[in-house]
Amino acid sequence: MSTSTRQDDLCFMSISDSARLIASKEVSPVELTSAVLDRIRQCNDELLAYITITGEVALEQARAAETEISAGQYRGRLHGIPVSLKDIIMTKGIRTSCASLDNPDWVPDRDATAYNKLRQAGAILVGKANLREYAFASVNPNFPPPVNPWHRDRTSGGSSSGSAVAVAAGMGHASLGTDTGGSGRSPATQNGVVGLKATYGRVSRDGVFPLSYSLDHTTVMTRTVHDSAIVLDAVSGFDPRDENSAREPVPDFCEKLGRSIKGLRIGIAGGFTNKLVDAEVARLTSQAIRVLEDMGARTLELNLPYVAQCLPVYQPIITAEAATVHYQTLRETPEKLGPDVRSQLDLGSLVPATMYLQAQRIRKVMRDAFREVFEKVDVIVGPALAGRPGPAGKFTTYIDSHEVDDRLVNPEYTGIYNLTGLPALAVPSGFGSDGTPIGIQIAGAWFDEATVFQVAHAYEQATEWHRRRPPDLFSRI
Amino acid sequence: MMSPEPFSPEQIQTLAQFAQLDLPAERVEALARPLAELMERFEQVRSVDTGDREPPTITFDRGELA
Repeated sequence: MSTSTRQDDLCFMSISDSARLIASKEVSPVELTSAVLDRIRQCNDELLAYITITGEVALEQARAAETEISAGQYRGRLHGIPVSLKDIIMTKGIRTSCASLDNPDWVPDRDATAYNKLRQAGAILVGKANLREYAFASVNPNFPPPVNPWHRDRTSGGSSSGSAVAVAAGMGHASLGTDTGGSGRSPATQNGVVGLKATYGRVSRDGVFPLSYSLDHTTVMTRTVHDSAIVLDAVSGFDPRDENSAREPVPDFCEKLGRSIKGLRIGIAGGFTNKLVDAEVARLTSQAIRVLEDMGARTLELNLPYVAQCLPVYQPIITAEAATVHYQTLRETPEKLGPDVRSQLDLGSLVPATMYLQAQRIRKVMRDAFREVFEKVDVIVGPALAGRPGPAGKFTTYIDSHEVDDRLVNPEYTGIYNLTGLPALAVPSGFGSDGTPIGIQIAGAWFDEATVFQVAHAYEQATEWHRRRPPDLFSRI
Repeated sequence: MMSPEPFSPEQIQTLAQFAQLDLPAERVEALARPLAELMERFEQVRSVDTGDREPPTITFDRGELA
């Protein structure tokens, strides 16, 4: 096997396979980390997935992992695994820019809880991933957006685009991002990886710079469903530092993987007000549902409740909460903010309190309606996004030949699960004729991520989308 | 949704005063249409019957309050 092929295989290997080789000492954490760092150095100038590459930290952590494993102190499946963090997640002694000129050289004096948990599990930090400014702006002139490795002229999505690109391009085995209305699942879909938003409160947001406290989630990106469950196992759990952290017990998220889905009740997501789902997205979603039916799942057409109310409810909440977070900057040094994020914050500053509070009340009604839905079904399956990635540098999506504003379309597909706090996972379901990835979304009842993983894993194993790699990378390496 | 009438610069300046924001002309102009659309959109849901329930608030752990 040539050196480059060996590097390629190591970089694109799943966490579960890498862990097996590390545990059996066939691959060392230093070898794996070095391979991923080499890949990052080769690709990052072109793909812009990382704002900061933490090479020295990574090698130091990898050497420590190797010493521990050699001494028989193997910590588990993330020991020696290279991961990244969206650059809005605090890292002690390492710059956390939030992709903004507001405070671009901020060096936190402590780690975020989720990163702490990854460290305790033995994971290796290879870098801080690029994002849209403060996880909010659509176009950021100060930090150029990551490049979609499947199609360079198309958007890599956002806001956790660097995390998604890094995982898709073999520049790290997993990444933590954030998701306030789809900012994790959307770039995961557009870059062909698995994106998980667990139940609100399941994963701590402590040390994650806030966008909208009642909608924010810390999320997981990986190349396979099994890997997503492994990472969620590590980062879940009650955290007193996060006021909305859940005390719910943490199960073994891998427990149901491989179990039959025969007899499971799958609700097919419907009732969207925007009828213009891209034809290729609709076709691949139908194909995915047939795959699930062929495995014995029972399907039921659903009209999801309150989808028409998503955008009107979502927009005042996210803008008002974000404006509250950034109010001082908005008043005193607004020139430090990019024009797009500033406009959104200005808008949020003018949202009346009565509107914000009514929007929050409606969320309770939505939650109750979804509770009834989950009396009839075990999971909900539908398209992850309505369209295919729009042009690079824009926050739009292609629905057939139309270019549509993402912010107007996606709340019904992704934002609904932020409003209700339900767990939702985006998993690749194929490619459009333009070569861009398309995904389905599987949502479950509160704190039932295990069933979401069960269905997603069954689908993934019955298809081959997760085995594909971005084509351009093959020719370059 | 029909495109609503944009807010006038004077209306936005008045709202901005309540928010204690000093907005230059270009930021006022950028808000005219989005603010009108947000307001119009919300009118579609303002009457949703919520049973006059209180909105979610930050919850405190009983142990910490004891």
